[in-house]
Amino acid sequence: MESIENKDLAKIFKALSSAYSRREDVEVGGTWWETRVMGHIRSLDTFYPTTNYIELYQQFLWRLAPVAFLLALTLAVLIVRMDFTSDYELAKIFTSDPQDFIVLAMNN
Amino acid sequence: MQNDTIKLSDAEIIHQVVDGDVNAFESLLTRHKDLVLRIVKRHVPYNEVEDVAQSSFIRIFKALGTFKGKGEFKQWLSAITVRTCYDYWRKAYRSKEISMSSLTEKHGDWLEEVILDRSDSEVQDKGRQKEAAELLDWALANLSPEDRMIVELVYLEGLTGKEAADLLGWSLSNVKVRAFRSRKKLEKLLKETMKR
Repeated sequence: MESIENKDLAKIFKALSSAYSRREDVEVGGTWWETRVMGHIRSLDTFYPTTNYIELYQQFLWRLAPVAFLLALTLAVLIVRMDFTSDYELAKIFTSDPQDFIVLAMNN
Repeated sequence: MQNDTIKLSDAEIIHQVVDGDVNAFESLLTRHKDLVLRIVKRHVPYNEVEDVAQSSFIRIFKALGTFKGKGEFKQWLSAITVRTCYDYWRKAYRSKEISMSSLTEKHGDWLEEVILDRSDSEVQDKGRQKEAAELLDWALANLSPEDRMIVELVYLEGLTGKEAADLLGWSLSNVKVRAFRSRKKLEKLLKETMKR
């Protein structure tokens, strides 16, 4: 048996999914674990999340504005480029193996 | 302490924590630990589950101030947990702590039985379950951390590309490309197993 057809692969994935879902059967996270987590969290004494960022950085805000603008612009370009690359690769996969790609796209 | 917060909504407890009441976090921990542990159990080895779940809760605690309350808290919490699991694998692969179990003829036989559509009881009996779990661990250990997460979320849990993208914080195109490629890699691995 040298090749696996799509329907056979679907059967294998179904059986592997079943093995995967059995990973949840392990018993963990008792009361002592909760105590340990809370103990660790209480020891994080330096933490305090402030929701007011403007208050934190008020004195630097205007001086940093042009830098922040440039940084945001660079990041935006980078993000667009990254997505563009993914789209390009997606198109490349489609052109190289259209039949298989359509089958997989329909399944997702 | 927990009795005071038991009837409060998640948003109200988050507000208390952000205002400095660290103990109020215990209610969030008790309320959502099952969800976090369930996610972690699926993605990391069982002996690492508690440590990774603890790391997830520490990240959740540290990030609480950034939770805007626009989406559902459970969704936000799940995304942080999945990303913590992904980080666990990236770290494990970097330090080469991945154990590669070896496969035997039995695993190839298991695959053939699945394809030949033997009755569920025969394929799912205890011995066979062990082989299925070993084969799954072996196949996933041969994938990159990114491919592993995609295979688990999309093909084993059955999430849509959009859901996986939201959890991992990746673009949908990126998830689709990875899903396609990781499936091809997995196919190749399974074919090799059957040739043994």
